[in-house]
Amino acid sequence: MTDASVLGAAKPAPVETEALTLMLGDRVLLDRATLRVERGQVLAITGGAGSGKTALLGALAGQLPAGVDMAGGARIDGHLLIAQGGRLAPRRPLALQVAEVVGHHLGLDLRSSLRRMADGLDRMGIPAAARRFDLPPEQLPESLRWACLFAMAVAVGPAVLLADAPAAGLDPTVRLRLLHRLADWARADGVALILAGRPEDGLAGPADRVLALRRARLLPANPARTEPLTPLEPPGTARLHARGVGMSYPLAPGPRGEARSLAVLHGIDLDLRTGETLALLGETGSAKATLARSLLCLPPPTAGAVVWMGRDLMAATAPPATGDANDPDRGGLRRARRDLQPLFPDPAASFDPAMTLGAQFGLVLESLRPDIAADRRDHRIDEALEEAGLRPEAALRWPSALSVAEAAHAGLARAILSEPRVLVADEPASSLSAEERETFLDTLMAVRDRRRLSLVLATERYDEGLRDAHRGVVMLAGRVVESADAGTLRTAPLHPYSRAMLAAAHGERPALQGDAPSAFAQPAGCPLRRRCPLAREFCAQAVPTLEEVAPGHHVACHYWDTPADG
Amino acid sequence: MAEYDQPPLSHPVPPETPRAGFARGLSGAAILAALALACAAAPLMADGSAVHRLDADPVAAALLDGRGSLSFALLAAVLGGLLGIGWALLAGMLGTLVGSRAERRTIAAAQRMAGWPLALLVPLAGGLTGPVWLLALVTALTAAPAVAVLAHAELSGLMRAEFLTAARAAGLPEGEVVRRHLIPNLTRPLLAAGVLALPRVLAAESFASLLGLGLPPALGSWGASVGLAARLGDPVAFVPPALLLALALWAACAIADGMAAGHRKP
Amino acid sequence: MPRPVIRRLIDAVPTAVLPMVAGVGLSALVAPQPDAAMALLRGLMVTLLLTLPSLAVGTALGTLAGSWAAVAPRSAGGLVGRLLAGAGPLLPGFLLAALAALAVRAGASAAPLGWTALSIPAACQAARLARPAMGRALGPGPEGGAVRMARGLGLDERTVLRHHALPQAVAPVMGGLRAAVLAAMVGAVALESLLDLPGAGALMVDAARAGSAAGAVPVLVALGGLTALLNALGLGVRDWIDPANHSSTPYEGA
Repeated sequence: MTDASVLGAAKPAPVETEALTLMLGDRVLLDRATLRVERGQVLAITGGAGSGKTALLGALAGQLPAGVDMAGGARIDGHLLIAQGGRLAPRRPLALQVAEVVGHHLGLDLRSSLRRMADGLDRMGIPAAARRFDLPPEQLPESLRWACLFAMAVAVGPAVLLADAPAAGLDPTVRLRLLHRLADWARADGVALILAGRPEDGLAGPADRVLALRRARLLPANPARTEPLTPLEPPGTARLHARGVGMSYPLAPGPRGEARSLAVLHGIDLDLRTGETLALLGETGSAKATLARSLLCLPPPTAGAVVWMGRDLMAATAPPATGDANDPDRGGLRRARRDLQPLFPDPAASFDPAMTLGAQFGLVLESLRPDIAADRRDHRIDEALEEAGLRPEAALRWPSALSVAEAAHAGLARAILSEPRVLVADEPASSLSAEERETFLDTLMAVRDRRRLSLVLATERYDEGLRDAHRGVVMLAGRVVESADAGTLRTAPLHPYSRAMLAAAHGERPALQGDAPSAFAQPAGCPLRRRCPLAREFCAQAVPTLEEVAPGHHVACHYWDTPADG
Repeated sequence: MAEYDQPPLSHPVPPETPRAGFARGLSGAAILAALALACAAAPLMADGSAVHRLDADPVAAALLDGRGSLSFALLAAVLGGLLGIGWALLAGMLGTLVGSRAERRTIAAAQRMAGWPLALLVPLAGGLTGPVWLLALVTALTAAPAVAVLAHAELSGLMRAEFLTAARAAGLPEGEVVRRHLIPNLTRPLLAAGVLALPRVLAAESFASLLGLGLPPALGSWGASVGLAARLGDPVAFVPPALLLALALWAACAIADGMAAGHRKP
Repeated sequence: MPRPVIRRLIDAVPTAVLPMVAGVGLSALVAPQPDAAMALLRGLMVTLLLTLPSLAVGTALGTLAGSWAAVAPRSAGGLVGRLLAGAGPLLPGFLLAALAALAVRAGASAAPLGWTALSIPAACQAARLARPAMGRALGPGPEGGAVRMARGLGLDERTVLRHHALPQAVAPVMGGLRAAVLAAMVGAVALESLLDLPGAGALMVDAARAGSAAGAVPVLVALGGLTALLNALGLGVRDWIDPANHSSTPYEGA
């Protein structure tokens, strides 16, 4: 554990540890770590779930979690710890809680505390109109809650700020904007800032130094894989067509009894070719998951058509006409289900808790592959499990006994049981972190290449989604705003939203303001206009349509070719 | 995948609360079974001669009373559980056939009724009507709304489960989805909701009998003996039935809690 | 009276006051005795006086004891809380009412015993709900996030317990008030009947003993209204102590 800054230090740094060791029972969480963080330095500590980040921050803050033992020395100046999850007392007005903390540390009264807090919110870039202090935290949007927490830290002005999984769960563009603001404050005010989080949270961007907590040691972080696992093969002909796919949900009737509905997906056109990998990119509220489900007709979309190999799936899922209710392959639906298989965002919940994996897999085979004889099914199940990176014995296990990562691999095994041609994956790795995540995505890509599958991968991680894809579609508020081949999107996207997502994925500062608007309060015109650096008056008047700016490259923005300052 | 066996530190499983509930449920079941056995064997304690409750010593009399209380509670609990579960299933069916509005109204009715002092109906029925089966029906009705509310919450939670979507993605027709996935997963929560009726009906019957408006004297009941002893000011006759009744109530509650804790995922 | 309580009471007029008025009117019309309506009104007052103080005191003490049982299980208060939480279903109100009747026969005074007999089940129920909730709020799970955060921000332990942990223990108790009200009503009816108090419950039981539906049904309707009234009071108190409703006053324009 050598660190260059340990040598030649005269003044004591705000955070210093000397051979700090943490044990959970007889498991070593941290092995003799020597760490030094200077004033104005931003350190990111990354590690997967259970790697001991929370215990390390707790040890630094003098709040060891129950059951963790500590040895070695740690010295820290006046500090604040923002605990994991960023939860506050859920029903107590935020202003009161903030004032309590600020007043406690600085000895100020309520008004002065709130004024300091307002200064802090200015530094976090929260416009005055968005400040709803007197609401309790549970009624505030997540991003505003995190901004208030950071602003509270700014108002207190500690020598050291420890943040455990800061802004986790926010959209990448929003998270990176807040983290950059926090890092700017730390550098300007000479605060030692330690951010701890998962490697895929993008903490490395705002930090000066990144250490990865791996195998109980603090090591320099490994860069993530940026190239495709294997060179991508050119795709074949288009088999799956979506035309004008739209989805709207019924709402309670209006004041005069008129029917109301909420449209979340607006007329999407999509073609998927054989062997092609298509990344659906978008953040919360972009309806990428709705689109993925609509492609599978689970449930069928309310408008448009989904056609698989010339067969209209929506007609097949419609309620049967009289007489053919017992037809086992009504409208070719079962054949289509065999070819189109989903991967779920929460794999553990997608298994029936009352059956072993093997029994559920057998049921899938019985339904989708009646051509496989009953005595051959076990063999097929073992093959699929091994291909998905699990041992065949996993078939005997119950879903509740699986770890999160095993459940994800088991979900993949189930999806390839019926030998499908298309996998529609909706955030398949969202429950995984760090190495588990990489392993799963690598397995998924290996399966895709071996079986020459088409893959639809819906994800909010721009770079990771495009890494192994042929083509990317960027979605915003139920519309496609940019679609191009993956290389173009990774290097030179044109839509401001795509650019912001790319910047966030690289850990840079996204050029968007504020939060995504709620689906119930979409602004007229372009849904991005209140956050967009290019927005002008005309953006409020018309929703931009997709136009082809280069062969195979479509953008929906009125001013994509205008520079931001012009 | 070397770290599979390590549970993540930041989200530890809450330590053994479900297991504790389960153990309590088991002990409750054991106590209730022991009580039922003791009550069933009570006539043997009277030396084979004809049994008259008033002549026997207080403990034997209390055990004899237990036969009436426990068997009536069992009957009414089965009735009440079935009624409540049927109510919840009816609401679920209305939701799929007619619309979510009908479902909401059916369950809102149960919720409103569960907030009403239904237990007061039991002494009323005991005083105004004669036959035991009618009393059992009224007692069952007092427990049914609470059972219905809980069972419906479980049902609607299960209907949204992701594994049903996964089953549909596997091409299973709706009937098969219900048969293979919904029903096996529904039995335990529904049973747990139904068991909720047991402590309620036992308490309602004892309450009515305490006032002298419950089971007819020939059947015998803990509540009736407690009430009589309290009126006469006789602590020796009071303690055994009161203790047994409290124990039975605790055991019934523990079973209901244990069932509810047992089927929930940790 | 605090404004949230008044608001809830106004909301509860159709479910609480109407049944009581209907019960009194019905008894004036159909009941066999001439002064039945007045007796019912008096009885409702007695029942209210019996249930309301015992519910309030029992719930408050039970919540505190149950929460304390999660903070310091081995202290005296913690032991009381654990005892209450564990004994919950052992002690239904009507059984305690019978015990109270026995004691009164032995020469004890009726009123304090009656209130105690009704407040113990409420305390048990409150402690049973508050103790695990408080344990979760202080524990390592996701519900403990607010407490961990408050400690990480350097607040002192007293503030943490009072403002960040205790509200999480009070919330389920307030949610379970409806069951406590029902148990108190049943206990009050048993108590009135066994101690010969002139309450509405005793009126109903006497009428039922006499086999008079015309005497019993109006009282039952009125008791339903009284339950709704107590529930509304409970909801009002819940709104009143909910910190989210104490928002806008302290920060003038900040």
